[in-house]
Amino acid sequence: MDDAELLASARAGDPDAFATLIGRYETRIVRLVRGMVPESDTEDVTQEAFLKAFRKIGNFDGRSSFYTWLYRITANTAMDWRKKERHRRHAPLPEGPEGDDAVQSLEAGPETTVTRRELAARIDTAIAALPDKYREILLLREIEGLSYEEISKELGMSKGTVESRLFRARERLREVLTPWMQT
Amino acid sequence: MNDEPPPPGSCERIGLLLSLSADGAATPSQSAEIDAHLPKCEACRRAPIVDLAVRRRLIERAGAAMPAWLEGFAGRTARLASNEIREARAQNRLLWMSAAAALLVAVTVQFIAPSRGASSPASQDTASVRESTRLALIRPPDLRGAPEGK
Repeated sequence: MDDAELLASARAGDPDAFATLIGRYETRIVRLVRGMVPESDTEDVTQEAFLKAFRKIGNFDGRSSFYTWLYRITANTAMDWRKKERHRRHAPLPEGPEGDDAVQSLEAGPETTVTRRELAARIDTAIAALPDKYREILLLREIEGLSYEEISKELGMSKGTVESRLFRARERLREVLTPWMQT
Repeated sequence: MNDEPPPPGSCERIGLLLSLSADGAATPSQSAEIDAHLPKCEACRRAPIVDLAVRRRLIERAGAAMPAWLEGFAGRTARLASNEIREARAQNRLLWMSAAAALLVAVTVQFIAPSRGASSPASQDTASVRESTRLALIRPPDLRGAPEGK
């Protein structure tokens, strides 16, 4: 069965068709969610996104691919989650399994020996601190491997904006991470 | 920070070109611009090292083993979604039925109950309200006593 057939059955309320459909994309979706929220919340955010998709499946007009549509719902769900968490904690979110350790290690001086694990934690924290509009594009480029044209089509913005935002994302990461990468 | 293009010749401009270059999107003239700038700027020379480290880390994270909960996740979520919608429909049905029942009771009270117990004080009140409403509807309002301009 192709996506269109599964979609028609899912629209008619067939949960098995919907399960098959999202099962085709769940790995890609989880990779993206992992880039946007801490690992401990990945399951909840992914599930919330899929539930929203099932509720709204009647609104899917087929102008984009099903994956693009599902991706947008997931990205918005993850962004909403981040806003709520930020509001709840009144602080930037830690990222990745190292979580709090990562925040502490950023506060240490550059003289501290940077191990591979520490560097990974710093990169995770720096990515987590990016504004959503920059992080989203970075993830689409680096994890999904999409070209500028594909990103601009997927997010409905010009190629110039994609280039610019990708640059701004990298610029911020360079500012934060360069002092830790001099060795 | 905005999305405006950085000024020509600046490190910011080279940063943008390095970003394009990291994605294989720099033109030959942009690559030449980078090559001319890098030997004289240490800060810009470090930028590709950071870009590469970030890329490696993101790929590492994306390529990490999928979580155990993903096993059967699509099926579980689809059943949950389906149950959720079924429950919402049942609740809607219940709501409609309650509304219909309430309407039926209201109609019964309005048109049947008063005719049975016309002598009780409550039904006399209801009858009096109904009579004044009827009179108000058939008699035009007396506007002669109303102050002008109000």
